[in-house]
Amino acid sequence: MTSLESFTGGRQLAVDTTAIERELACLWKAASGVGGGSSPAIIRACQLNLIVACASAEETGRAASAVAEVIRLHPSRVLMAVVDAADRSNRLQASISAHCALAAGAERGSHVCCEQITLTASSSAIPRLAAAVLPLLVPDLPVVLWWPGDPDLEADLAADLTDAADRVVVDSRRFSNPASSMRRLSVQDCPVSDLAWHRLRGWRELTAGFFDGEAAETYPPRLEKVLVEYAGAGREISEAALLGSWVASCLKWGDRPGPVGKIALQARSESDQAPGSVLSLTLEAPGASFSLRREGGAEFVASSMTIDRGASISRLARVACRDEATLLSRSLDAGGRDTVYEEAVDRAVRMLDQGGDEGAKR
Amino acid sequence: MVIFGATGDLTRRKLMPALYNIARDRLLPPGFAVVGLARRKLSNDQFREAMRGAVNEFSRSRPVVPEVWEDFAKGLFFVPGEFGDSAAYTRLGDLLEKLKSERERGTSGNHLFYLATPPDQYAEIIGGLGRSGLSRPRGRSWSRVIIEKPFGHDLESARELNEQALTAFREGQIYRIDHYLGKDTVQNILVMRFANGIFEPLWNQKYIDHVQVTVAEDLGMEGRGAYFDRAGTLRDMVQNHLMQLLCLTAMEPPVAFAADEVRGEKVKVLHAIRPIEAEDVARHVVRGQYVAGFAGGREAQAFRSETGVDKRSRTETYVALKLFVDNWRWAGVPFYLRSGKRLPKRATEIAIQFKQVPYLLFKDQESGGIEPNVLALRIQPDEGISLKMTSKTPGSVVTLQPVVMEFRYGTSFGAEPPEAYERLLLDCMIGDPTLFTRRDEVEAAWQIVDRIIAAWQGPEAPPVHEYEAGTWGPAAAERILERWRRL
Repeated sequence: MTSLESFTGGRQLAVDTTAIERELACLWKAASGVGGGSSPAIIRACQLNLIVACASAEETGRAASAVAEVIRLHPSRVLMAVVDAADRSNRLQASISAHCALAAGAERGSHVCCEQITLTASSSAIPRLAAAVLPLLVPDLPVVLWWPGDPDLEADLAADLTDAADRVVVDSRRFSNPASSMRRLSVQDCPVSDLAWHRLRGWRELTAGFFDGEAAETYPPRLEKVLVEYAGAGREISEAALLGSWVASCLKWGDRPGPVGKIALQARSESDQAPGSVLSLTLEAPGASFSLRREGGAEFVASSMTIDRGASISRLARVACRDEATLLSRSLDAGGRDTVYEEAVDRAVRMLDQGGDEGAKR
Repeated sequence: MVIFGATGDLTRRKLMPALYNIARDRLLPPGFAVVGLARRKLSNDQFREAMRGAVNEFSRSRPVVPEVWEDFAKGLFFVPGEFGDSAAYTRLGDLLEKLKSERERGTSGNHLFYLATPPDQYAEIIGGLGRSGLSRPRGRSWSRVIIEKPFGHDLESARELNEQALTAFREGQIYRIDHYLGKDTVQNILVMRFANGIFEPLWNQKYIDHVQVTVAEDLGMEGRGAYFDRAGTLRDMVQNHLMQLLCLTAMEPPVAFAADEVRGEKVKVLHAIRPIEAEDVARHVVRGQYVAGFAGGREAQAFRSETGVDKRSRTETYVALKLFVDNWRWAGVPFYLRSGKRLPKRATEIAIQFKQVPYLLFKDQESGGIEPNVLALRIQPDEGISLKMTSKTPGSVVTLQPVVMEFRYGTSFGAEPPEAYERLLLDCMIGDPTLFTRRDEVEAAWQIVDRIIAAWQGPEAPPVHEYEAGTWGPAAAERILERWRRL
């Protein structure tokens, strides 16, 4: 198998860290000659720079799978910045590979390809990692920085990579210290996308659906308690905190004079649900209750509304179970700042600082 | 062709590979010969062997094709000698006379002298050529001299060198080389501007917000520390390469693509550049020097630790400056120039940033905002042209994202572009000076640079800012332009 075939076939080719661009240029040039006769043409595409900062082999493997899916919709130059803390040497290694997929609507089987550069730093080489990654960014294209794990946002590496980014993507479900990490993210200049927030989209839509009809004017001002249950032992609180804070934000609790409701976040051991998953949301007002409860596995949520102690109106809705690649893709679709998310984060940080509850009891 | 300094780096890295490639492309006349002249005592065979090694190491078409090399090498000769020794010129003259005859090479007595030596030896060599009569063409033959940059180290020395050159040669025989002009992509600036109808109507102060010219190098001194410590980036890069790029970007259409017409328009640009007064230098120019850092994932030493550099050197390895071209076309449009060593990557580009649309329809913060259009002319590497536009992303909501339309030389054309030196050597041989700088051009560029140097040497001299190797220069450069392009 030639280098070109290995490259376009997705295999990683080891290259010198100072010769990455040159090697890529040679390979793409050779690839541009492909397509004569019966072999499929190769179209090189790049819509954005996607830096993926990984701190473990598990993160790297998981991120690589997601990236392979995402770049079908978002052709990118992928820059995998991998820290191998177990390696005690002073090595910084580079490899290049291509992701190729059949072009949509292609008549002759053209392939759309984009490139991935992987830079792996041993523990001693971490200070050199950002300086090796940043010159590889393609000019004029947006830079998205994705942390597939729990980022150490205080580290120099995080600061250097974030400075170059137009958008930072995290999954706050993976934060080991949600309040601290969210606080750091909330003061950054560039917009933040949170996979946890995208995961909550179905829950937010169903919650808003309670107040679409007649209940819209009557009940929101009367709501006095929000209870969010989530799977886990208590540490995986981010998603629940975001959902609760979003409700408080929609109700403008604390933004204007008047009574302020209470938000309670409760962890519940639930072995068949991913830690951090929201299990239920209950909104209570005098004489009315609105609840969403996960049922029948991860995909379905039962919604029920009880008003004036009357009959409960229930329905079962499908909340699509989004994998990491889909959630990342949705983050890359985002335009500017998500002010609704940012407000929810601000409230979540305040709430977590206060120990999980927001507002005073009525 | 006679190369003075034939055992030096320029000959090995650039000149000999270029000549070999020209020979390989069958563009050299039969009987073409190269005579190397240097202090070292080499035989013809030793010189040929050394040059074969150089071509094998540095040619874009390496390794050499044995048959092509054998034929090319027959025309390589070496004359050992000191540049100030008249006997060396006598020996050189004898050899050139011998090579003129059909029985030897049949060069027809045409002579191209290439000064590939340190600049402080130019005067000596020109004097030697003048006194020996080698500079004078005889009969129908021609005699030309190529002088490498830097052409002087300030206006006064440039004028002096011009006067010296004119004692031995006429202006029409003098070819001042700036190898940037030999690059296909640099020549393409004129083609893009003047062979396409869509750009020129927008190429003015009405539509252009500003222009950024960047010549960034990721390398440090690479053995040139002693020279560079005396020169600095302003003299070594700005006075020549960056000024040339600015001229080609800003010049008016010449009436013909001919030497004097093109060069005349470039000189007009240089004359229109607003001089930076001494009291404005601190506001319009930032200089920096790299300290230790990381480059290409490796540790990089500080400039002052490089071989040949004074440990207390204040020489600038980075310059950023803001210039205005005071004419009808460019009134009020700033031209931002920057160049530096040990920056994150090697990149040369001219970026034309257009003005924002007059009214923002898409104000919503969540739409992603609108970034200005940028036309980027990439000179090296990854040569090509890109145009940044704003586009709606697919979906039911209006979300905006910058996208880039790309033209890449490497993939659009199958053929490999020639090295700059190949084009320039050929141009000199056929007597076309379009891509060489004229006397008044060189002096006008020095006039601009001299004012800055004078201010840097004055009592109110602004500081030399430090920057880490592998970064985009000192933070102080943001005083001149907040958003330099991320390349």
